[in-house]
Amino acid sequence: MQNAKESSETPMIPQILAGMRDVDGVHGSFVVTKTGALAGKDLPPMFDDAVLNEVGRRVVRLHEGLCADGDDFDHCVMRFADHKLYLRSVPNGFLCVLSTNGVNTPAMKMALTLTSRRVDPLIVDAAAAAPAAPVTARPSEVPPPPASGAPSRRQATYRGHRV
Amino acid sequence: MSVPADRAGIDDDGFRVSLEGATLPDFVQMECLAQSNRVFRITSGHRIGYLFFNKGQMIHALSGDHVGEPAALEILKWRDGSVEPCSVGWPDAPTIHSTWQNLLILSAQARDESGRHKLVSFPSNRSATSTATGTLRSDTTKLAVKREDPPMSAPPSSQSLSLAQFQAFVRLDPAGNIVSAKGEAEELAPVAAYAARLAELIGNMLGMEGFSSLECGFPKDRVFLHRERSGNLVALKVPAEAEVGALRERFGV
Repeated sequence: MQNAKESSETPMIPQILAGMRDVDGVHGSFVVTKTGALAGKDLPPMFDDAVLNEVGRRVVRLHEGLCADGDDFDHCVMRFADHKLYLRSVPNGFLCVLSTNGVNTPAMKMALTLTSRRVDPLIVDAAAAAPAAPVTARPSEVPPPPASGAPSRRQATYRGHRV
Repeated sequence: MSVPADRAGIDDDGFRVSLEGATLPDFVQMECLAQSNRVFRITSGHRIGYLFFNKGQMIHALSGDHVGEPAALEILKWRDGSVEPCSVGWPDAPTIHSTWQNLLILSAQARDESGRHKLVSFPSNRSATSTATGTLRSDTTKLAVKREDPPMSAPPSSQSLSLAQFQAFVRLDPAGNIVSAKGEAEELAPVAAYAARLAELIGNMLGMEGFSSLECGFPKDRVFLHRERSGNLVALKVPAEAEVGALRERFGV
């Protein structure tokens, strides 16, 4: 992530992501690549890059689990006690947005669509500029894969890109 | 903000600190990361509040009119003042159950919203929104009332879609055993259990506790997950064209 910030392209990602906060209730957002590496963020400093890289890897695993039968998801939203986390799959990664539970859903969907469209072309450059993120997860924290014998998604493609 | 060392009842070890430009969220983060077990008096103008830290969490707060989380959020709004350790009585039980990360998020949001122009306004009461703006469906109010009727343990089908409309339905107990199922449950169950676990882990890492629901939209269908109060996990797969407004209202997604 540090190297990504130094490139001439990636500073645009936080600027684009800042637009998500036009929607009332949005705390911030971040973008990860299809491998889970952090490509850019617009979040308070308490969310450090190491945490977001680990979150990114789990987002990828969540995507692989939910899409085990082959179809890519359009969107995913998780509700927690006080917050929601929106995921939007784009060809080169995932846009992740943190919000309150009371966020205006139609406005959020439109903002997700516009932001993901603008940020997607920048993800490849950001990922290329960033070094491989260190794996910090302890093995005991990593949940086992689904035991359904579902086909691996590693060779699958989406719009010409490996997912 | 100044942070003088207390001269009574606190160890003399450590530095006396005076930080210009520091904010209370900075201070809270510092204390929690340090796993502090102390009470601090916060003074800002004529206002006084107390923050109680125990084992890296803020467990109690007092301000002029509030106790617990409302007090903490009020204090965290204060923009200048001083912080000093003190030795007031501890509460019998914690009054704050949110994580410190969550409190800082809420505080930052309140501060953010108080100072910026809102391009999109959305009151927290959704039924009130439909009345005020007419932007939501006309049946929103009806659905909101309907949501209160059945208990959370009731099958979701009883108030929204009929079972015939589900492509798959499965309810798993906390250990992952199938309690009830319909349709392609054998495929849905492991996906649901795995996805719910990952959602909880993702939420924990981001300081968001209490995973309750997930909706995932695919080109041909939608998957809903819902963690019931009992700890059971309900998973539904419905066609993409199905009307899912009631399900969303019930699951809060």
